[in-house]
Amino acid sequence: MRTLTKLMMAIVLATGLAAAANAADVKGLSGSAPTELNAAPPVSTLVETKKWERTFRQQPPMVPHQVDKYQIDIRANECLKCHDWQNAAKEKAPELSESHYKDRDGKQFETVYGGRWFCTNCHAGQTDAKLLIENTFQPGAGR
Amino acid sequence: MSHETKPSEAGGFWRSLWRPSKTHALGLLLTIGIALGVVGWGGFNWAMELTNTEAFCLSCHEMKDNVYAEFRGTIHDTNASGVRATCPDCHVPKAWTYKIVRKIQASNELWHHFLGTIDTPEKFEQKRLHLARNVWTAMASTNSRECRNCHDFTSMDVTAQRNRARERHLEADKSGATCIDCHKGIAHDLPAGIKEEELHPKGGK
Repeated sequence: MRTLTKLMMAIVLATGLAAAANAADVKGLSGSAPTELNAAPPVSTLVETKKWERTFRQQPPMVPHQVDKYQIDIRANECLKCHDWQNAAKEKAPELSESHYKDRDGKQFETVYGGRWFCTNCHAGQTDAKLLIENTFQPGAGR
Repeated sequence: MSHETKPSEAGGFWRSLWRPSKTHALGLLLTIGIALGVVGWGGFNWAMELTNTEAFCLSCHEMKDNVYAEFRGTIHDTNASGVRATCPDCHVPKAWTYKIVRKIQASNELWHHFLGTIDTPEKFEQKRLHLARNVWTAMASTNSRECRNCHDFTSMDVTAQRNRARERHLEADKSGATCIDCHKGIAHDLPAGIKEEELHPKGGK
């Protein structure tokens, strides 16, 4: 009986140790163990001096100015102040493409289609952020 | 009509206020008067300044949970230099006369606080456009006086600004546009139902 208890304790201990060793071996994509807090990425700066080329044909153009304080919610969308079709010309700002005024069935609207409302879902700021992990993406031949 | 003042007489003190003092030196009376004046006036302004603090504004949940929650994170709350604008910096005039006028108007806000006009987020949302327009109208009518306490066109170095900002500010200075014409929704969320023309200065550009 006593030997059985000892054996069981030994098994539990061994399993625990193995688990602990394994946890240290497991690495997330960012290189650290999932149980550790990731180091904060370096602060990246916004590139406002020029517009970047698209990397691939369907890439949503990136934003060459600050947008982090812009309100985009159920009440208002501050991007449209300049980029909506009614304002783009007089504000000398790039106009939303026609696709943004159509729903998925191609029905045309006067105002931005709801599914396109949240600009920053697709249009990111032009920051010089370093890749957190390696990216092997290559644009297609047609680009 | 008696020339004697009896302290026991009803209203004797009040009547004595209208007669020259027989017993006290003019110098003493003046000194006491001036001292009381200084303390009274100072106390009044001190009390008024107490109501001119962020902490005072936030003592009402209507301010703390709605407009202040939205204000957090905006450029006037946190920025590179750490210079902050608090509620009264934008919403209460600095000049004394205008300040008093604004403070008297604020009694209406107290009244509505006790009525519970905007005591839930839903009620506040219903009133948001109306309340925002009140502030926009007030700011436009004073040529954005409170903004200009800090942001003055004459001390604004447009060459240090980004291209977009420089063009707009020069344009605005020429056309006589005022800050709030363009800078709506910078410290609090824009209300739903805002008209397109309210987002652009009058006169097209």
